[in-house]
Amino acid sequence: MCDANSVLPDSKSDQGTEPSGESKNQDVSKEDDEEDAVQHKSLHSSCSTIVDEAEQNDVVNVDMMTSDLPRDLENDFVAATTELENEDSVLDSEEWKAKEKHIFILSSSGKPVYSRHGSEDKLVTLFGVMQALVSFVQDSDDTLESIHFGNNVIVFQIRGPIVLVAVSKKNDSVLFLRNMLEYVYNQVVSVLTLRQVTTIFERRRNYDLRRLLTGSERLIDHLLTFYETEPSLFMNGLACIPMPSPQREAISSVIVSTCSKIKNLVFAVLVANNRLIALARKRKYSMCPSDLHLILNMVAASESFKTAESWTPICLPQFNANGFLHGHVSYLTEDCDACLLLLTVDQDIFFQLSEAKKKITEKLTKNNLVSVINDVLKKPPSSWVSLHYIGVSKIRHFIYKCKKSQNILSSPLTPPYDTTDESRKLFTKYQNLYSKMFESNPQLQVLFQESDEERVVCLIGEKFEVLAALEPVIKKQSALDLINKLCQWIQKEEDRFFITNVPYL
Amino acid sequence: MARDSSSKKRVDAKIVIVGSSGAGKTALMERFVYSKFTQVRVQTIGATYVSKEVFRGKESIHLSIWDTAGTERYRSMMKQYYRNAKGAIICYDITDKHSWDALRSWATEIRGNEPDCRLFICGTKKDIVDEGYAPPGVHSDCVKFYAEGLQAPSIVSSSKTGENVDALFSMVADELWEEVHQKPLKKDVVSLDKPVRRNCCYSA
Repeated sequence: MCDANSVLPDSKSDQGTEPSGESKNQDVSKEDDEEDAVQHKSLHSSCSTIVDEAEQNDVVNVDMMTSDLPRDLENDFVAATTELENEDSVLDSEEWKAKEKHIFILSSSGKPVYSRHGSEDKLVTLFGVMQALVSFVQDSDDTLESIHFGNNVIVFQIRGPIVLVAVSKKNDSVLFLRNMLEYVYNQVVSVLTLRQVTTIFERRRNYDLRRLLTGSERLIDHLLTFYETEPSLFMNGLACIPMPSPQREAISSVIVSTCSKIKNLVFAVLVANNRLIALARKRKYSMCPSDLHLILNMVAASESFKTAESWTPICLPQFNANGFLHGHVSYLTEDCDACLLLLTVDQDIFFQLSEAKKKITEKLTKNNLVSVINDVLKKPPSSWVSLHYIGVSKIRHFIYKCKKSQNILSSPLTPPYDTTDESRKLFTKYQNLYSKMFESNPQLQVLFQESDEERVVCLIGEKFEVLAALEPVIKKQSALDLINKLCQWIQKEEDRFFITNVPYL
Repeated sequence: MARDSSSKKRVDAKIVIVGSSGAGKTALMERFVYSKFTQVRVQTIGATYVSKEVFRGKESIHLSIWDTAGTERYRSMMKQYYRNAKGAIICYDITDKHSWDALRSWATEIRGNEPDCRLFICGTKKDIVDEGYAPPGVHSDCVKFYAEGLQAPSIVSSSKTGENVDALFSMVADELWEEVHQKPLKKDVVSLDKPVRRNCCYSA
C-alpha cells in the first residue's frame, strides 16, 4: 500500500493509464479499511486500555515494556523510570495535548527516534504503545494502516525497520498524512541513505537511531511545516520563481556552459525562497519534485550555507536511495538570496566545482543577471498573479499544477486567507478534496465542496489539476467557467511561471 | 591548485577542524575567519570550506580550512575531508567529558590514516568555565599528559571572547611554516615529479 502511494504522485504526470492504476490501489486500500473496520474498533479499545493502564500505573507499564526491549536499553530505562514524572507531565500537559498534529518516528523494536512535539525521551511509554499496536497487528500477518475515531486519525507507515506515525485531530485525509510520513521517511533516508539504515538495523535491531540523526531533527521539523504550508509538496510539484523566460534561459545557459566540461555533475539547481529559479540536469536523469523539496528544505533550514561554501552529502531517495550525492552549496553572492547547488557523484571535485561556481557568479554578474534575480526576488509573491487583472476576482485562491512539467503555480494568500489559521483551514479543505478525488473510482473530473465560507473546487483535466476557492454563493457552472478562464490565462503565460524545458548539463 | 605554480612564495596548507558534535568547531572557524560569534548554532551538514591567508613577513601561508560536521553519521566520510591535510585541529568542549573522549578517538583515527598530519588540540568554550557557568569536564593535567604523548600542542580558547583563537591558528601556521621551510628540497622534488593537481587529490 505504501509503495503504491509513494509512486502515486510521480505517476500523475503520466497522463495515460496510470491514474486508473492508482485509483485501483486506492480502492483496494479503501476496501481494506472497510474490512478492517471491526478490527480497528477493537484495536481502538485495546489502545485506550493500554493508555489507561499507562496513566493509572506507570510501574506496570515500564515493566511490561522493558521485557519487550533490548537488554542494553535497561540503563536507559532506569533513567526513564526516574524521569517518569517528567513523562507524565508531557503527556498531561495541556499544551502538548492541544497540538493538532503529532508525528512520531520509532524503530520497529519500539525505540523512540523522533517526536514533533515534546522530547521523545519523555514519551517512551507512548512509543511503547505504538510499537505494541503495530506488532499486535503484524502478528496476525496484517498491517496496521490507520485508526479512526471521531475527527481523529492515526496513520501508520512501516518502512523496513522504521515505523512512522501521524496523529491528527483535524480530520485530515489518510492520503495527506501518508504523504507527509513519506516525506519524513525520505528526509531520514536523505540524511542517512537507505543502505545505512538497513545495514544498521540488520546488525543491531535495537539500535538507537537518534545517534545518527542528532541535529537532523530541525530538518524534519522544518519539513513538516513546509509540507503543511506549501501546497506544492502535497501536490508533488515544482514551484518556481516567475521570471520572463529569456532571462531564465540566459541564467540556465550560463550554468550549463560553465559546467559542461565537469564530468559526473548530475544536477545544477538554483533556488531561492523555497522555489526554483533554474535547473539543469545530466541527460537521462530527472529531478523528482519530492527530491527537490528535500533540497529546498535543507537550504531553508541551514543558515550556515550563507557564510561559507559547503561540501554537503545529500541522498535524494527518488534519484538513488542508497548513495549520497555530494553537493557544492553556496549563495551566488553575499547580497543575493539565490543559492546554487552543484550535485555530483564524485566526492573529489570540490575545488573544480568551487571554481565553476566562481565563474558562474562572474558571468551572471557581468550579464546583469544577478540583479535580474535580485529584482525578481524583491517583488512580493502577491505581485506575481493578480486574479483581478485576469478578470476572475470571484476566485479567491487557486493552485494550478501542469501535469506535463509538474510545475505548480498558486496565487498569493490574500484576505480572508492571509492568516495562518485561515490558510491552514483552506489547505485542509484542499487536501481533503484532492484526496477524495484520487480515491474516487472511476476517477472524477470535478468535485465541489460547499460551506458558508467558500466554495472549494477540485478539477482534474487532461493537462492540469486545479484546486480553487471561490466565493460561497457562486453557481457551479459559473465557477467552472471562471476556472477555465484562469487555466487558459495560465497556459498562455506558462513560460513565465514554469520551467518547461530543463537543459542538459 | 594552480596557484602553487603561479606564486612560489605562497604556501598552501589544508587544515581540518574535527571534534564531537557541539564542540564549537564552526564557531572557532567563524571567529578566526570572520571575527564574529553566533551564540545559537545549527549543526553543520557535511563540511564547509573557507580560506584565509596568514602572513609571515613578505610571504604568506594560504590556509584552506575545512570545518567538518561532528555528528556520527558523517564519520564514515570524514576521511575524504582530512585526506592530505597538513594539520588537524581537534576540538573538545572543556565542560564536556564526552567530547574529550571523542577527541581521543579522533586523534587515533587521524594518526592512523594520515601519519604526516600535525595534530593540534583545542579546548573550546573557555569563557563558560572562566565565568563560572560550568565546571571543567576534563582535568587540565589529563589534557597536558595526553597531548604530550601525542606530541600535539594544546590550547584552550573561547570563540565568544576570541581569546586564544588567533594564537591557535598562528601556532598552526608557524608549525606548518617550519615544516615547509625545513624540507624545501623534498617539496621541490614532489612538485617537479608529479603533476601539480596531485597536491590535492592523490586518488584522482
